[in-house]
Formats: sequence, structure tokens, C-alpha cells
Amino acid sequence: MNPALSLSARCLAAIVGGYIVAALSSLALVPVQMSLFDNRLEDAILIATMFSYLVYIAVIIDCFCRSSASRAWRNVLVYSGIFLTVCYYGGGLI
Amino acid sequence: MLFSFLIQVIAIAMLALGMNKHFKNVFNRPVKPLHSKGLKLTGWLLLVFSYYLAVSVLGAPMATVYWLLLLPLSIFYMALLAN
Amino acid sequence: MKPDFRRTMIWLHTYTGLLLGWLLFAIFLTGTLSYFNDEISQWMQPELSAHQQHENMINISLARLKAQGTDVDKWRIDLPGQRNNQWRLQWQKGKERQSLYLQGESGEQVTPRATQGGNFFRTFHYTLELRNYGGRYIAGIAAMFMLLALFSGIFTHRRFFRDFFTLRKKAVLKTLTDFHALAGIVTIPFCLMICASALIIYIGLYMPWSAQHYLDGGTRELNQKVTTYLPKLEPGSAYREPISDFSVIAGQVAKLWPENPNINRITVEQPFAANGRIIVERTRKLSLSNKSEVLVFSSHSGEPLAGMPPERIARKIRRIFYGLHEGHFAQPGLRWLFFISGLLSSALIASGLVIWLYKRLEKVKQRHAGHFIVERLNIAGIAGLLLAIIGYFYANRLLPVDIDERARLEIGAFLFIWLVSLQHSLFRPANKAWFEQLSLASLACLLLPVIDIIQEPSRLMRAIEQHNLIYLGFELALLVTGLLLYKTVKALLVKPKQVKQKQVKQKQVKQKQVKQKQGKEDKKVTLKHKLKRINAGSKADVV
Repeated sequence: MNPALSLSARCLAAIVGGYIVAALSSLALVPVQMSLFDNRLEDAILIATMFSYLVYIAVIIDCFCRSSASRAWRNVLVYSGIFLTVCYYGGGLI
Repeated sequence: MLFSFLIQVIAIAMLALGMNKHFKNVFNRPVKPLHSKGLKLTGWLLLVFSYYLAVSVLGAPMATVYWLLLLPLSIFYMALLAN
Repeated sequence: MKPDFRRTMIWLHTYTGLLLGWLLFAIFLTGTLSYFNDEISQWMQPELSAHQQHENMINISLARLKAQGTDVDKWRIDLPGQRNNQWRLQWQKGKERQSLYLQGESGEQVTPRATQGGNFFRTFHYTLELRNYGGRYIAGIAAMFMLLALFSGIFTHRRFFRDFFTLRKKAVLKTLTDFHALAGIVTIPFCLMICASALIIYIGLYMPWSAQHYLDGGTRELNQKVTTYLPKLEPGSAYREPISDFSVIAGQVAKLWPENPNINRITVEQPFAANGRIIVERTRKLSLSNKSEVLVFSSHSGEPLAGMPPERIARKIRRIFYGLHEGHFAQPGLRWLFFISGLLSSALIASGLVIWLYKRLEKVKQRHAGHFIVERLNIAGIAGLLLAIIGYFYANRLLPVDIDERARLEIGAFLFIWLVSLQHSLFRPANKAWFEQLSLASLACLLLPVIDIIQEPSRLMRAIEQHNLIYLGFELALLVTGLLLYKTVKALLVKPKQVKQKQVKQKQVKQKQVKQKQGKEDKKVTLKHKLKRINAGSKADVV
């Protein structure tokens, strides 16, 4: 693959994909917290949102650690899949 | 708090001396491995002690802020001294 | 895998730093200045004299506010404190708000010049004067990039850990690189705290999704739910005359807050209603959180009422980040430490930018457009920003006091000078542009106190009489900055035969060191504030 293209794909995965994963994590961690720690809804939202920044950074770094851009994208998709599943099954808690 | 800062500076100095390069600068001979280890250990212990002192005076939250902001000062001071 | 990881980290460090470096430098420098927000504002409003809180102050304020009529909904009294000298009254009818400034023993009214003061730097460092055009988003992205650059920087300068405390002094570029790595490592906690808290402060802007998904009202509702408020006042309560002697409450305040009874602000809600209340807020000193510490009293009897319930842990975490970012709790010594850390981080960013350029210029024979752009932006972004900041102070002194839109014009001057500096850097050879801009900045710094004295000698005399260390300290800081910039420029002139690039590098290093020294020296200065006063006094005599 063209190196410039690969790099752009990687950056896109890191920045856009990372943001999406982070946003999904801020959704998914709310029901998780509420069932595990018995937090109030609003507290859970705030904590999940603050925590999502950490997720964002982790995903960005992860993207740059993978050996190829396609793997970076694969990871982003896997993470979003996990968070989406959690959202879907945890959504009933509200 | 000033006392804690002093100990912090000394601790950083110990850590610097524990490194071969800086030890050579000061004493004109390479550091023995045992000395190096000893210096480093005391350095770290003193660093912890200075933090403990700060906490005992100001309480953990404020002490952490002070301690972390003083750290650059002592490290830069040492870097200027060590060269 | 491993060397590859390091290579990507270096790449990440290089280009995140380059892409937003100038922006980050501007944000960090203005943000650092806003640690002295109140002090700068005080210098920029010389009409207000320094004053201590005196006992009558609150009673005078109450009497003045009562004269504004009985249909007022809210009063607010801002009292001067350790850092600011504003004694300000505000009253609010419906949505309409009015205010006036008082001073002196008996509280005569003064009108200070219209200015944003130090607040300009504070707002600029997160809105970039683009509040309605996504300035805060840009600042948020910059904060994120800074975090990334920090993280990847650890791997980029990994070699530095092996010989810590080393500043190779022989080659300029090496000194600069060492300085960059050292500053980077020591400011990691500071930068982490600043960037993370910056992101957390505007959490509702940057990550609103969760709140929007789970709550109908979005982030607004979230904030209302996690924040604790005083109970709402029921309207239509009977008329009651509010207290006019504050000592009833002052005694209780002193008893309830024995460790720090300094009152910062008093708010009176529905002053003429039977359920009206007085909210007393003290200066922040003891806790990192930015939650205001208040006591509540009845407005007509002075009886204590129920206070604000404490907040839960999630909100507290955010409050602490917020408080750490603003540093309102910091006492002068700690404030200077914050300031130095801020300067170091700015120097870190600037040195990174310069290193980027000269590492590449060393290798290539033929420069291309990218080098040119980076070089010019370095000049405009670093020297030009310094000039613009000083220009802002000049505008404050030189613009006529009663001109319309004065505060806007000052900011206009700041932006205009920055633009001119960019233009200047485009049309001059790089080393000349550096030299000219830095010497101009130095000259301007040195002249500003002189101009201030010529303009109104009584200000300085009054500051000396009143032991106003803030005013004198500001002038002294200007002089010190000017002198250090002058030294930098002189150091550049000594070696004119060196290769052009090297010269500029030298300048850069010096500039960094200057900044560092400036911070340190200023600190020494505060420690010996008595000496400082004498110093400034003698300088005034000389002039």
C-alpha cells in the first residue's frame, strides 16, 4: 500500500475512529457502572464521559502501534463492536 | 515546606551522583556499582521522605501540588549544576 | 515490532507537535499569564488604588445598594482581597445588571478605564478570540494533541533517561534538544494536569453524547443534576427591611470559618423579601476544588440558613480538575511555581518547534516551502506573540481613556501587532527578523514603566506609599523581561560571523533560557519583595 495513503488511513483511524470509540464507551460505561457500583445515573454519565478521554488516548496510541493501517481499523471496529454490544444489552437498565 | 524542598534537592543530587557520568564529573573517577546503588537508593528514599514531610505539613492534596511543582526546580537546578 | 513502535512514536511526536505547536505555544503562554490575571488587571486599571478590606466596607456597600430602590432582585458585593483591588457593587433588576466601583475609607465612586485586563489572556487562551467560530473546539483539539505529543515524547527522547541531568553545552542544537527533553520530563505532571483538566472543563462541548443519549436535557440537565444549589427562593414574599449592619453576620462568619475568614464576595438575593438571603463566599485557599465555599444567612435578621449540600464524588473529581487548572487556591509562592511551570511548558513547545526546523535544515541543501513556512511561523509565533502581549499593555496605557469601545480596541491592538509581526517576518531574512522583533520587544518592555511614570507620576508614588507590591512587581517584571531580552539580543550580536542558522538557534536557546531565568528571577524577586520595593523606588528616582 502507498505509504502516504497508509499513514492517512492510520491517522483517520486514530482521530475519527478513536473519537467514535470514545463516544461509544461513554455510552456503554453508564449501564455498566450502574449495575456494578450502583451509581446514580447522572454520576455514571459524568464519570463515563470523563473516562472516555482515557479511552480516546488509548485508542489513538493503539492505532499507531499496529503494524498496518488495516489492523488499526480492525481494532477500532472491534472496540466499537464491544461497546455497542454492551450498550445494547445494558440499555435495559435505565 | 522549605525543609521538604531542601531534602528534595539533596535527593535529586544523590540520584544524579548515582549516575556514572555525573559522578565522574565531580570525583574524577568512575563510580563503583555498589556506591551507585547506594546513592540511588538513598536518593529515592529521601525523595519519598520529602514528599512525606510535605504531606505531614500541608495534607495530601496541597502537598502533592507543591511537591510536583517544586520538582522541576530541583531537577533544573541539578542539571545546571551537573554540567 | 519494537523499533517500529518507536518510529511511529517519533513520527507522532514530530508532527503533532509541529501541526499545533504555534497554537499550543500561544495557548500556554497566555494561559500562564492568566495565573496573574488579577494582578495584571490591577496594573491595567491604575485608577483603582490598592486597599485593604476595612470593617466599614460592607456596611457602606449595603447602604449604597439600598439606595438603588426596593425593586432590585439581587445585589452583589465584590470585595478587594490579597490579589485584586476591585471593590465593586452590582445590582440586578430582572435581567438588567448595573455596577459601580468604589474606593477609599468612605467609599467614593470611581470609574476605571474600560479594559479587559488580564481577563483577556484568560479568555484568549481557550477561545482564541473565536468564541463563536469554534475557538473552544480548536483549543480542545490542541489540548488533546498536547497529551499525545507528551506521551509520544517519552519514547522519542527515551535516550535522555539514560543520562538524565545532562545539558550538553557545546553544540547549540544539542543544548536545545537536551533542554527540550528535560523540560518535557519535568513538566509532565503539570502538562498532564493542564491538558486533562482543560478537556474536562469543557466536557459538555467535547463529549456530549452520553448525556444527550440518557437525558432529555443533554449536558445542561446533567450539570443541573450533579451540581448542588441552594434551594430556590419562592417569589411573592412579604416586604422586610434588610440588615444594614453586617457585624451580626461577620461575627458568625469568623466563628464558622476560623481558619480562613476572608470574604471574597457577598450576594444578596431578594434583599427586600422576608425570605431573602445573604450568601457569603470566602476566598479559596484551603481546597483544590473550585466549588465556592459559602455560608447563607437571612437578609433581614442575619440568622444562619441551610447551606449548600455537598456534592457527590463524580462532580467533586471534575471540580478538583477545574480548580487545579485555574489555581485560584494558590498562594503567592505556589502561584509563582505554577507560573514557572507554565513558562517551562511554553519554552518546551517553542524549543520543540525550533528543533524541528534546524534538524531538517542541517540535513537538506535545498530548502523547500515547508521550511520557509515553519521558519516564518516560528518567528511570528514566538517573538511576535511576545511583541503582541507587550503591545496590548501599551495600548492600555496609550489609548485615550474615554474613547468608545476601548476594551475592544486594546484587543484589536494585540491582534494587529501580531499580524504585523507575521508580515514583517515574511519579508525579512529570518535572522534579521528574529533580531529585530526581539530587540523591539526588549525595548518596549524597558520603556513601558518609563512611559507609565511620565504619563502619571502619581501612580507610582501612590503604589510606593501604599506598599502596593503587585503594581511595583509588575513594573519590575517588565524591566526584568526587557533586560533579559536585551541580553539575548546582545548575545546574538556577538557572533555575527556564524552561519545564519546557527545564529538563530542561539537566539532561540537564549530566549528559552531567558524565559526560564525570568521565571526564576521573578521568584527571587518576590521572595525579596522588600528589596524590590526599594529597587523600584530608586529606579523611579533615576527616571
